[in-house]
Parts: sequence; structure tokens; C-alpha cells
Amino acid sequence: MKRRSLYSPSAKDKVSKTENDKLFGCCCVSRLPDDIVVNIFSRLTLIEAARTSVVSRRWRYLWTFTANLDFQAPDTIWKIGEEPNEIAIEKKRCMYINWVEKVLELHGGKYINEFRIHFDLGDDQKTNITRWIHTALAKGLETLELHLDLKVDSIQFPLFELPKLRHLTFDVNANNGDSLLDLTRMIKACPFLCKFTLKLISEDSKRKLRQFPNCRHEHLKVVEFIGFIGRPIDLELAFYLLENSPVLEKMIVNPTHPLLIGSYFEFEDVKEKQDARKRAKRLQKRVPQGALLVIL
Amino acid sequence: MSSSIASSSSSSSSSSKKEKKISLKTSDGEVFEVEEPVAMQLEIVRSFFADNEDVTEQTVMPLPNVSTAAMHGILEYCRAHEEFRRRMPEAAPEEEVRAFEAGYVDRKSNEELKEMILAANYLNISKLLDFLTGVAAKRIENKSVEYVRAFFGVENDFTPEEEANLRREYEWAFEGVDED
Repeated sequence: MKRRSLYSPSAKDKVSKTENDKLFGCCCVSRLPDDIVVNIFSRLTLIEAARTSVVSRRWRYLWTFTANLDFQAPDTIWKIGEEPNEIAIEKKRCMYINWVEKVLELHGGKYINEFRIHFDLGDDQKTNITRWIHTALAKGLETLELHLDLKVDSIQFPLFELPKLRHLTFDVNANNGDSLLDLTRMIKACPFLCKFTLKLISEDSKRKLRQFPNCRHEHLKVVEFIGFIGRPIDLELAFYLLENSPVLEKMIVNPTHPLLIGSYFEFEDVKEKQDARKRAKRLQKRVPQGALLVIL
Repeated sequence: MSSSIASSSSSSSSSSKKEKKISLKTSDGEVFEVEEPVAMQLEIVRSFFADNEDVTEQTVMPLPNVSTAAMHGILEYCRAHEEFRRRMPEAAPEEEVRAFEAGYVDRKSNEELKEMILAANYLNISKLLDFLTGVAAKRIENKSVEYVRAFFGVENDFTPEEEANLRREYEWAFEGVDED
């Protein structure tokens, strides 16, 4: 960062003018109207957008009108894996929670279209998370992504409807004996859901398939499983969605462990993945007409 | 200013001589003759012709907020997309579209980009506006506050103390900023 531009207003002005000319080859810079500037902010992560509060007085709260709240944590909070003890981790958790609370409090826009949280928040934070979703919901939420550390049976929210939600993405940490069918309640609460993505971390458990309920999801077009193992735990939910989604276009089954996505090992063809793929073929029989089963 | 007729040759080889053209006049007086399906991607043009019954084929529609330079850029984009649509009416060839779009903006300076954003906004071409604001976002990603000021042409009106305080308040937002 250029320290010189921070001090002495007159000198600074000169610097920024010449820098302007250097950067853009012109002294008459087009001004974009606020709504377009906010549109551009909406395509940045929150950290990026919030930095613009330092640009000028008038811009101080402009970023709070962004309709997309993507809570990718700053590195210092993010890297909890490097923390030696639980107290330090808990402190970072608090920082993250305070950050989300603060931004939601500052948010000045009428709409929140997208809301994404990514952090190591567990079941004990359900109350906070539910409240955040409520806040976003009141502003017309359409896309919700929860990349947290939640257990299947704790996903009892929402106890409310998400009437405008179109995209839902969820991370689930499943234990032996869990059933993802518990998630159907969440899906049911979103009558206009178009796309459902599930990232599953689960043990390879064997048990009998459970009965699944009937409930039609009239708008669901795309379902994506990441970390598919092809055991009753996820097969049940996949069968359920295939049978209850009359306009389904595509079900994508990706056997790669969610934590390996984007890593060097993402495309390594291990035996677990080959077996999961074989088991995923069982889904084929129930794929509704006009829909496609994609096994990666 | 005299009105000159700008080149209206379409990149499409299949366009016939009889194809209906629409005349659009930019802020600096240049008249563009544009193939109808391309012009209709400009929502402002589409509604102008849909809402006014007394317009004819000879009507020249004035676009006082669009410069000739921006118009060239706009038409290049709309013609390419019309060509994609013509070749594959069902689904656009995604990879080709992406390759075209990447090359299309690479050649544009920040100033040109902003002028195009203003034009796309005024002409109400939502697809192009979405695409260009995405490009603008990419260009300011991980950049310093000074760079962002210069990019948007905004003067810093904070006192050094105020700015320093704000930077402290938003400390978490200043990690990982690239050198300009």
C-alpha cells in the first residue's frame, strides 16, 4: 500500500490525479451511478466490498447495500486449524459471529438475494444461525449456503417457510445411523426450490433402507450430491428426490469427498469412489422421464 | 455535426441484403444501421419500437447517452450473441461464448469498460450489464483503496486521521491486498 498517499492532502491530491492519468490515460473519468457501483460490490466477497468504505465519505456505507452477503472469513479468523487450543478457536468463532451480526446490523439494502456462511460453527450456534436466516429471509432471500459443521438431526431450522428460496446448499456431517431423510423437512419448507446441493461427510455405514415420505417438490430441477457414498444414508434421500421431483432435469452425483474438492487429490480415482459410483447406478431405475443422472 | 453512416457490416455472412435495419444515432451524431434482431437486444430500442405506433423503418432513433465508441463495443457484443443464437437456437455454445467474452474485454481499458457499463445500463441490456459489472468486480478484486478510488474516479475526502481510524475499524478487510 502506498503510504505517501495517506498524508498531506494537497500533495496527495496531486499524486492521485497523476496516478489517475497513469492508470487510465485520461483525466475525465466516467462516474458510475450508485446503483451500478452497488451492483459491482454485489459481485465481491464481503471483505472486498467492505474495504470500499475507506474510499470516500459518500461511499462509507455504500457497500452495505450489496444484495449478496458472502461471509468468507478473513484469513486471520479463517485459519483455525493452526490454533493450538480450544480457547483460541472459540475466540475466533466469537469473532466470526460478531462479524456476521455487525454486517447484518449495518446492512442498508432492501434486499438480500444471497447469503453464504462458511465457518466451523456447530449445533450450539443454531439460535444465532436461525436468527441470521430470518433477517435475510425478511429481505427476500433467494440463495442460501450453509457451509458449517452441523449434524443431521440438528437441522431443525427452518421452522418457518422460505418462500422465495430458489437455491439451497448445505454441508452435513453425518454419523453412523443418521438419515438424510431428516433434511426433507428443510426442503419442504422451500416450495420454490430449484436447485439443491448437498455436501456430505459421512462414514461408510451399512443398514437397511428406510421408508421415505411422499411430498412433491414442484420446482426442483437440479440436485447435486457431493461426497456421495451410495449407502442408505444418501441413497434414501436421492430416491426420495427422484420420486418426488416431477420437473427434475438433472441429478449430479459426485463421489469425491467434499474436503478434497479443489485439492490436488480431487480427481484421484480411489476405490471408495469407484464403489460409490457402482452403487449410484441403482438410482438409474428411478430417474423420472426427461431427467438425467450424471455420475462423476 | 454532420451525420455519417457508420459501417453496418454484420459479422454474419448469412445476412441478406433485404434484412431489416434499424437506424440508431449516437451522442456525437453518428448513425448506425443495425440488423433488427441485434438492435432488439437493446431493450430501450425494443420498447421504443413496440410502444410508438408512428415510427417507421426510416425513423432514426436518437441515443443521446451513448458515444460512438461505446456503440461500437455494444454492437460487437450483441452481434456475436446474435450469431451464437442463430447457430444454436436451443442452447448457447458455452465455451465459445466464454472465449469470446474473455477476448472481448481483455482489449478494453478501465475507462472504456466504464463507458460501456454506462451505455449497457442506459440501453437496458441486462445480460451485457451483468457481464460487464462482473468484469469490473474482477478488476478491483484484491486491489488497494487507492486503486479503487482511481478506478471509479472518486476523490478521497477523508482527513488522514479519519482514514487511519476507518482502516483500523475495518482492519479485517485489508488482508491480502495486492500491490497495484
